[in-house]
Amino acid sequence: MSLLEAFPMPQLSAEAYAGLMPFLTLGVGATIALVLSATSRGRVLGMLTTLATILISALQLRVFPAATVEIGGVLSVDALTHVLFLMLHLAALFGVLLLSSQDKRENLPAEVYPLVGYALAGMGLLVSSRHLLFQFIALEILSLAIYVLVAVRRTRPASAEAGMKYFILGGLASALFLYGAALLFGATSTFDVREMATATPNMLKVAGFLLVTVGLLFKVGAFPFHGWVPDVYEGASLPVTGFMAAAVKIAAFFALIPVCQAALQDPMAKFPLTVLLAVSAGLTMAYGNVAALAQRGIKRLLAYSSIAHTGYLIVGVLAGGDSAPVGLYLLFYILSAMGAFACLQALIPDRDDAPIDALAGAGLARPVVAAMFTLFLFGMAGLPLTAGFIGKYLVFAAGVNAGLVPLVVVAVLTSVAGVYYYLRVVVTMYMKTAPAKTAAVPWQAGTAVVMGLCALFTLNWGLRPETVVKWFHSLW
Amino acid sequence: MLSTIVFLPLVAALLLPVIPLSLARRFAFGVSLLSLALAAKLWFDFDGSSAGFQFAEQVPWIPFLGIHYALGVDGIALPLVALTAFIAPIAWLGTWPAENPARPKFFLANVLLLQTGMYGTFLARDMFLFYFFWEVVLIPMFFLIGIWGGQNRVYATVKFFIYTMIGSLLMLVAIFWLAQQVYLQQGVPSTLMANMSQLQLAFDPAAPWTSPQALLFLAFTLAFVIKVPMVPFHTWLPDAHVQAPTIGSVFLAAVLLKMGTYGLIRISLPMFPEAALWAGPALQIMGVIGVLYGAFCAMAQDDFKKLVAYSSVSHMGYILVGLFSFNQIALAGSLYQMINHGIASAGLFLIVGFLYERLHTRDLNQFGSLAKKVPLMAVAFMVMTLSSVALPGTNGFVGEFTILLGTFQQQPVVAGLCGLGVIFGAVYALKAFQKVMLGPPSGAGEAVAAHGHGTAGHGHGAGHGHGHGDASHDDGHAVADLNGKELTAMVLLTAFVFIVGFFPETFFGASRVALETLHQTLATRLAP
Repeated sequence: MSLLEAFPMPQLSAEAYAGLMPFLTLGVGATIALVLSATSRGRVLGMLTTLATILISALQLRVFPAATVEIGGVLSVDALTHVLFLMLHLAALFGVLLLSSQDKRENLPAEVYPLVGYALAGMGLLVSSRHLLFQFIALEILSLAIYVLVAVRRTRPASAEAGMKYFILGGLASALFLYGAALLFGATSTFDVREMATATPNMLKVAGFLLVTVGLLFKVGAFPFHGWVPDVYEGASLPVTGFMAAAVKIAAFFALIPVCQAALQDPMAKFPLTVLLAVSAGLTMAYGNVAALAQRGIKRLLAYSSIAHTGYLIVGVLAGGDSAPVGLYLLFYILSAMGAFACLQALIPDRDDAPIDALAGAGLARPVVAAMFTLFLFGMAGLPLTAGFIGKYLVFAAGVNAGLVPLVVVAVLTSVAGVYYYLRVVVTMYMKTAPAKTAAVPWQAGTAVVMGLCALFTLNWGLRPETVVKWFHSLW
Repeated sequence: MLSTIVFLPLVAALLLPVIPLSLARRFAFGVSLLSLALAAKLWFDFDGSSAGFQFAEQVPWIPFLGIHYALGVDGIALPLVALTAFIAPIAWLGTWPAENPARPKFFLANVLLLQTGMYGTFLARDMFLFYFFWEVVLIPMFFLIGIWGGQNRVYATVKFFIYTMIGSLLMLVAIFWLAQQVYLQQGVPSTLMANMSQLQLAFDPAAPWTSPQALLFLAFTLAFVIKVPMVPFHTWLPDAHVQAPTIGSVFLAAVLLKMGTYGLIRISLPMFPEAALWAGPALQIMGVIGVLYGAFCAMAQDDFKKLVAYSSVSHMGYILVGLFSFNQIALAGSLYQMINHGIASAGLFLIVGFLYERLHTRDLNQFGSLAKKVPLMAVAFMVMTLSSVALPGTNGFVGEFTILLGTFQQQPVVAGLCGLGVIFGAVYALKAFQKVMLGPPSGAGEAVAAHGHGTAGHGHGAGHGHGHGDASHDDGHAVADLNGKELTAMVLLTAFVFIVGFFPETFFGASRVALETLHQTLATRLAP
């Protein structure tokens, strides 16, 4: 018996291969980058290879028609997953560009680049699958890559601590997810989320749905499963924090949405799940925003603010129906969050435990960067002119349309606190004088590209959102 | 036409980086003159016999959500647009030598962006666009107070921002709700105000607190009365005014506060009439409290700028009283008062600015007997004071008298209490004039000079405070009188005070039909 007979090659259609191509490209490209990163010019080669891999994979996503195909019963690629995967590519691209400006400064090993590639592949698999067991594997691929990325800064003990914390709590989350998946399989004899929705309701199924949801809530950093977020944000290097803040959120939210949709169709699971999500959303928004008020470190402030954004997004998930608002919110969040981390990298690259006051006087000393940082902060605060405003508008409008008016009122009131702490950063930059002459920061090409692109799209989509809004709504 | 008015300042702000620094201020002033010319053309082309929107522009902006870029001007928006256009060049002229701020181009850009936001708010016919401009106004004002303000500027600017934000976010939720109702009732997504005002919104007098219309009314009205500001939401105003640079105070008092009352007259009253009638008495009472409380606070102030700020609280209270009296005359009076308060408060804040520039103090007890030294300023100050206390023959009389007259027909007690406010208003305004211009010459020479130097450093931010007037009082007792630019600014304001005071129809004639129609609509909707 030959090997091919034992493990027969599945007969895949051309469309299925086309759907698989980006994943294959990413896997192969990241592995090449991994090999190259062991060479003497590893950082440059690893960076270029990963960059090329991401671009090729993104190109494949654009070139191949976004046909709806089921691959091997575990992957379901369609137009929607294509777009989500593209968003993840955007975040990874920004992450690599930011890393390219920061790797020497922090003495990061060249392997960070392939790790971004692997994480991207894992995230893509997670959002493209409706098969819980396969999603678990994807979740592990992306999580392991991210754990290493967080812990990889050899110069800082805080980084190792953050990596360890993330690893242990992430492991707990994965275990909950897996346990929930097992219960669901026991109750419905399937791993496919879509089939679970219509299976006979019973208590086992309810418990399974709740456990899977909690596992994913861990990953998005929702209250009360948010404990790891501030430490990990603070410990990780700036590009990694930016990448993680944006990309992990996208992947985990779009793993959460199908689960929630299935559970909300189940007459028994509907009520407990709604309560879980509503309570979690309300507390996440309140806790994230209030705790951010008390922060003195800029990275911790952004960490708590990201918890608050998770809360707004859960409102969008709970609103159900078309989850285009959540997708758009996350797209705009990539821009403002990664843009903000890029600005931090441009302003204070060496001081990641920096207090907010370290930015004092930046408005005068670095007017362009400070202006862009202000734009991104206003974007996260949801002020008009920025894409962030459109995102908030859509998510909150979806909430109101779904009858979640009290939750939306909580959201807008807590986001006033958000406005306050974002303003505090702007106030520091423009209205406080720098304590002393700070060391000049060298020109960083990668950072500049990320900042420029983020600022451009934040303004563009803030003023002319029609095209992208329509596009997203056409996907669901 | 309207788009040009709205976006001309924005384009100018974007051009600023390529304008040479020495010309930048003149450029900004030139732009405001051009805006004024456009507004004047709008004024003369406006057809006062029609109540509808004119010069309407409508382009789909986000068609998917029914959001339009829709502008239009009617008899209610027109005076406010004219006020904005009129105040802008005056504000530049009146602060010309005084405000030579650090980061001058950023300063100018913020003032220009502020103008775009104000024009946009008054001209928007789409609820989303209205909200958009409403929020845009916050950003330049935030920077103006926070960067170029006084000692306590950061506290003041953040307070200003947060107060306004709380109100406007609840307004945003109400906008979502209205947009959804438009879609459900009319079948098309639209955020045009015209569509929203056609909605049938349930109001149950037996259970008002749970009626959708009442909740929507409250959400919008809270946003507006914070901006007005209505007692007890007024505490941001004295802080913001005292800390703001003069040009910021002028725009804040003259135009920004009017955005609140404009919102009431444009949205709260016509869209939710039953709820407005229900909540009207409470809002009127708050208005009366504002009139009296603002006047009492103003009487107690030693800080000249704070006195003027509290007088704004008092004078804006009349507008609330007038709007919620549901009387045609008082409704018109409210619109008049919006404009007239804009003129008088702009004038008074400019005077405060002139004095501060020359003597580096705002403490009323530090002034005295200045009328002999600065006769022109004294005359200008007197005119603004008289307008503020509503002396017949000035524009202030037109507004307050009309409000009181109309309110008296409906609610005589309320009108009577407001009448007391006029008396108290005269007390504090004349007290201020007397302490500054007359009174004992409490050492406006050495004492003020010494004090002035003490405050100059920390009172005003970096790079500001050693301007023009400094040298002239160093060597003796001379205080410079108004220079040419300042005089022009004050003469223009004075002309407005008397022309509108004697011939109110010249300015408000164009609004008559719109106000009558608004009152008709309200009367029809509220007819039992």
